[in-house]
Amino acid sequence: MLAVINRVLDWLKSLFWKEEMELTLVGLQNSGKTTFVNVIASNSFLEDMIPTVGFNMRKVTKGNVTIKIWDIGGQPRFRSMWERYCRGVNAIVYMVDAADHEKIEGSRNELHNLLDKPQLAGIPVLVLGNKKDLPDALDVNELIEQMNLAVIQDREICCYSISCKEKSNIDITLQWLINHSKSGSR
Amino acid sequence: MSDIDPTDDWDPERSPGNIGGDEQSIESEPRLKIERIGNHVNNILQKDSISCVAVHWKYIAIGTRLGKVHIVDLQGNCVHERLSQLSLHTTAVNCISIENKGEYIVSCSVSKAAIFGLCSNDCNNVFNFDRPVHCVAIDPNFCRPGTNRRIVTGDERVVLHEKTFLSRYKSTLLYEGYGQIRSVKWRCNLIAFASDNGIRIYDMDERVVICFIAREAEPSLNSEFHQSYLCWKNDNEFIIGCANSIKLCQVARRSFRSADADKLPTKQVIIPSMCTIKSSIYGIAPLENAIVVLTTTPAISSPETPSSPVTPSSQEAQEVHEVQEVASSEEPEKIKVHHPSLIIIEPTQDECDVISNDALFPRGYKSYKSNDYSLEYLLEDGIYFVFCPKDLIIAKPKEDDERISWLIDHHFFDQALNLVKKGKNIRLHSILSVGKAYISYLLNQKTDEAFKKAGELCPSILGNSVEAWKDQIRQFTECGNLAALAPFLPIEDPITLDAYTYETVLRDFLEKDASGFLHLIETWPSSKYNVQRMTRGLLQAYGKDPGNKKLSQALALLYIYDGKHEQAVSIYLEIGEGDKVFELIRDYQLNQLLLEKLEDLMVVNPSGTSKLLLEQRETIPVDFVVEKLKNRHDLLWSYLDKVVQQDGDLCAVHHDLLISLYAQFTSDRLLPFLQSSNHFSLEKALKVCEKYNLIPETVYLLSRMGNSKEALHYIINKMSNINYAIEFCLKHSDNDLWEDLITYSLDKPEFVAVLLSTVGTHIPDPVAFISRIPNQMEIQGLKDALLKILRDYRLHIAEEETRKQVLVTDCYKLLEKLNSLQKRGILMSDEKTCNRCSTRVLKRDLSRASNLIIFNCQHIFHEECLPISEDVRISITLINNLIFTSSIRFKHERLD
Repeated sequence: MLAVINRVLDWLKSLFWKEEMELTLVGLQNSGKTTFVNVIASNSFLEDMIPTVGFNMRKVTKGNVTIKIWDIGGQPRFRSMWERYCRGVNAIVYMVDAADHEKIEGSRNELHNLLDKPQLAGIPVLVLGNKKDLPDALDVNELIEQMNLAVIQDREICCYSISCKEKSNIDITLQWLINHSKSGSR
Repeated sequence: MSDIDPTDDWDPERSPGNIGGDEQSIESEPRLKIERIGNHVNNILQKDSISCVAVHWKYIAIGTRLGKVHIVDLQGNCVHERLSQLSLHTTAVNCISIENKGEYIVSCSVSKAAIFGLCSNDCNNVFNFDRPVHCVAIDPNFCRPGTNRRIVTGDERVVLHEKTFLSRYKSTLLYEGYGQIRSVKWRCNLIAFASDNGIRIYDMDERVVICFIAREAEPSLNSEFHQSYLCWKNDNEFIIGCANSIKLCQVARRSFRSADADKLPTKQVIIPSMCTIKSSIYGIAPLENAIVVLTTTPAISSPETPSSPVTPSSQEAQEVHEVQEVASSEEPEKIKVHHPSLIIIEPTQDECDVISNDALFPRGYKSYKSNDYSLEYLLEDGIYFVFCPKDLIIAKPKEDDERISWLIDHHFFDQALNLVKKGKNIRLHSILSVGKAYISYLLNQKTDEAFKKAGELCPSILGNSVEAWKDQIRQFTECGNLAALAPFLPIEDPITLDAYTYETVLRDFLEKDASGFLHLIETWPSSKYNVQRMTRGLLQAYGKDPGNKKLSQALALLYIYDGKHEQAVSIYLEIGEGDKVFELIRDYQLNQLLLEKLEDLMVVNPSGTSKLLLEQRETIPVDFVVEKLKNRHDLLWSYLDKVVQQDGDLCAVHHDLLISLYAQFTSDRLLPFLQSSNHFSLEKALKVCEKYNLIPETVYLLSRMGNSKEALHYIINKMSNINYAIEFCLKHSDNDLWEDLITYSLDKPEFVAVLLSTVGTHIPDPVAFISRIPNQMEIQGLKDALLKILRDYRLHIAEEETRKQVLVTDCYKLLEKLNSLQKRGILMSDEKTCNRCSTRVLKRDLSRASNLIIFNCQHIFHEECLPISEDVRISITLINNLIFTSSIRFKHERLD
């Protein structure tokens, strides 16, 4: 009975307190950005994705929050455009392939390059270590250390280890995003 | 930008700054970096042509002739397949408009307009029209809830479409009027639209057209070909370009509202400035304080144009327009070929300065008309897009690094240096790198001015870098012009180069420029180089050119730096630079050296040496010097003279000696000295003076010895100067002297004449003097002289009488004053008491009153209180009267 009332309340809330947020999803190629969008949008995991060219734009509604996602290609030729798409968003989600040890360093450098841009000062960053289902994936602490996240002091930064395939930790990621729907709005 | 179409006949990177348009010889700096957008756009253009473009800061929407809308990112990459090719229309897309957030776009073709959401389909809608629609604009705040999802379309009218309560679209006519609507630009709540006769601004708040700015172009210009272009600079300012005039407009609130103006809209448009440019405008966009204008310029056929070698090499891609282009170039000038160019102008009052002019050569520009080109812009990023059916070009303001490179390449080094100092985000260049390029350019010029300039630049450019300095010294040496750099070499902290570097420079000067070498030795601190090494080098050079005074001086300086003062002194003495020696002796306290070289120095510069000796008199006593110089009277004289000038008592014992030296060398200095000094023997001095026949000095000495008579005789006999004699007599005012003088003068008529005329009354008895003049003597001017004596005498007497009168008058005045003082009344007030018994002197009871004695000094006594002797009493009789009067007065008071 209580649950029914709660659901009705939520529905009413969503009618009157509809919130919007905009976030940009970046990260090196093949880290799982588009997959992540698919998982949170339609809860579907597809094994064979083609690399994103340019960008994709999706809108996902969770509860009373509408999340607009700019999914940007991760190949080197698109990286100069990341800054442009990150400008003025509520949060930047940075995807890392936690199981690809060779690319961690490149990923770290790209992240720090991106966050050094003066236009992006103060925008909260969520670093996601994807593919934790793979055997030699880094855990959260290792990832924080490898990505040298401790030096980033001037903004809110958070790091989760997730798996799109097993859909683990997707819920806390969404919660974090929804919590940031109001902060840092353009 | 990897896969640029190989058929490109124009490489934007390589193209010259301004071909054609501006025929001035001075190249103006291109301020825009021009690139062609390739990638997926090339694929689009393979089959299709661009008909319109809209830009958002995250993507570009390209409308094509075949009715497709392509979304690409700013590099031209296609995006997710869902968005990459939108088949919204079946005929050419006329216009696309994107709302602020980029979520929705609206596009129109002739008979249809479509709203499309990039991330959701909830607002997608299609409008069909029965009139040809040319332009469309979406509400910039389309996403904001409660804005009714509005769009406007322009055909021959401006129509607003907005969603009503039941999700149905309702159309409202906003404006209908003259001619076709060419463009609509919506910003905030203002919609600006251009028709053939001008521009109107529509205020959505009040739903009214707030202004109309008429098209101001020559009627001969076709309004279809020369459209009005407009762009919003910010929410309140927009720029209009039409034909060749540019207007800057501002939307402002009406400042006052009169009673009859109630119907007027609250906003109005003012035009603060307008200007004209030389060429026609085909697009306009703001750039900070400047304006970017798309215009076209006639293309000059140059060897670079495509019909020559470039085209045959690119035969593989046979595009339609390429064929057209070749065809048109073969036909004899049907259409004059124009290419577009972007010019940046800065409006100032009624004029405008063209800051830069960038020529563009889009693919197939030969076959296009001027109005086939359009300009779009992203104000926030300062990016400009120029497109024509077969090309999309992006122009960005150049980064400072690129500008500097260009300036360096075109030898505008001063501007490059300024920019490198002021610019931001400069990674490629630095002051050092630009400066080095500048210096090496100047060195290659090989003119004196250039060398000089290069030298001057060095300190500001090379700064504190030792390596850079060494490098430049090497370069200057190679050019053989180290002299230009030498004055600017750093010699003070914080940087010092090593000794070897300085020595290199010094050697170079030693070979070429002795005076320059001397200057460097003088100005550079000796610690910067090895003095011994330089001395050796200099001695070698000196051996070749022994007569060189500059080298001698330099050598002396080096000896000084090395502590070999004696050698330095000898060199200075040799070349006659006494002053330097004194400085040296003074600075280094070289008294021993001074004594040794005393005579030489005195010869070179007596006064300097004397001064120096005086300064050092604590250690070098005067007596010692006198002893040393006793054989050189001239030197001794100049020394002692200096000593006396400093302090006469310093050399009291040598005054006799000095007198004889003065008599010998400068007799005119002798008399003042004699008058000031007390330390000489009068007899000796007298002898000296007599010996040298110095009459005034002798006279002075004689009179000082009290022998004034002899002195007078000396004057008369030796000098025969009656005036001097008279002066002498006047000074001494001794009757005997006058007597002597008269006696002596009597036989000389001219003396008598002078005596008569000048002395007058000074002679004690002129009558006696006149009577003594022998008879028969002819005296020049005797009459005048006598008259003068008489006149003087009369004056003398009159003077005396007047004096007497004055004296008598004074006496009388004083007597009167005394009398009046003595007759003065003395007030006896009630309070007065006897100075002896201290009781009041005035009593009410007359019977008890006693006589009073009052003194002029106001002291009062009772008669009985003052024991008065008889002789005093006499003088008091007068006072009794006073007592009487006071009694009377007292009585009067009582009666009252």
